[in-house]
Amino acid sequence: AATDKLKSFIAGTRSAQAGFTQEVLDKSGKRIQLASGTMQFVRPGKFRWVYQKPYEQLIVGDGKKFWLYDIDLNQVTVKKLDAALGSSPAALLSGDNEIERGFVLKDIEGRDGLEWLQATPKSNETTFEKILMAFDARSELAVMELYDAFGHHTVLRFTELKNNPALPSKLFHFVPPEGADVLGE
Amino acid sequence: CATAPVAVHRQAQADAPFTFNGRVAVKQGEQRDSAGMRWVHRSDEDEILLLAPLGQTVARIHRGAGEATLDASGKHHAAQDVEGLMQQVLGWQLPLSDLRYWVTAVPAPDGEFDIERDANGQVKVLRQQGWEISYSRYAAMAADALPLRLKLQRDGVQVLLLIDEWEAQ
Repeated sequence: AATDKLKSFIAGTRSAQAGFTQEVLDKSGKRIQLASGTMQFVRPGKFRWVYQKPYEQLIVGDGKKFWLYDIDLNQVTVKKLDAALGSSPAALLSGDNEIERGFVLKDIEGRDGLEWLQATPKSNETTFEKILMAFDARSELAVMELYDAFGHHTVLRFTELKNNPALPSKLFHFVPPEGADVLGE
Repeated sequence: CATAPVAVHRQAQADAPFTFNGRVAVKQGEQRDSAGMRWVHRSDEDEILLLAPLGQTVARIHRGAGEATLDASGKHHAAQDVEGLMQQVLGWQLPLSDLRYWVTAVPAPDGEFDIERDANGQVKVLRQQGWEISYSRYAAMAADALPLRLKLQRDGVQVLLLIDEWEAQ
């Protein structure tokens, strides 16, 4: 079942790299945002999401802090990782044991030829009400769906997932560029 | 997968409907706020969604039928004027009643204004209601092109509006 596949994904995939598309749909299924980019992570807690479209944005988890750099705005937002990671999608992807600590996991009905689970955040100060994860026949993560409090949902589709690539640690280290506005602790 | 057709030119009739996706960043002294932003404008109704990085909606602002509402962090707020409501709940505001014109590089109908244009007729700076709005990027070269990057300034408040995409109506 999907929850077993998540466990084997966590145990077997110590690092990963994939392309992703991010489509946000409102309650009526109308698209309100389309973005795409690449994602890399090393467990636990190190991740790098690079958005290329519709604008350039970089999200880095360095194991202690969560950095978000908007290149157009030349603005960096930084948060402590446990506050940000706790029940965030990045925790589900690149976390270790905190997945059980941060979420209630439940297998749900399969669709689109994939096996699905539902992860409900235990803490309520996250912006998501529930997160669905889908695994393909090779136990690889294919889709994540994030449902927010307005009934909108973000569909993250992963492509060309590479398991356990060698990823240099500098990918998960971020230093705000000269002159950038830095917000947060 | 195909995206919604994109608009590049402003529609001729005044106060035409529009929809755009973009980002907003507000600077007030030490305070900084930024969010993704989707604005669906109709003559009698506005809906503005403020989005977090992964696309989740963190606030929904609605203006219509003489009332303004704002939903955020599980709470519903209502008031007469949308600007005051934003200031009260979010701690920052956008001059929405005029911005709905300024965002298409057109002055609001009431109140004097002055405009500086560049060689091809595009607005470079617009001053109205105490705000100075500078337009630094457009979707095309034409005089009626829609802007993609605006900076609004008024006594210590700076609002940067980056529009990634205007949806064709």
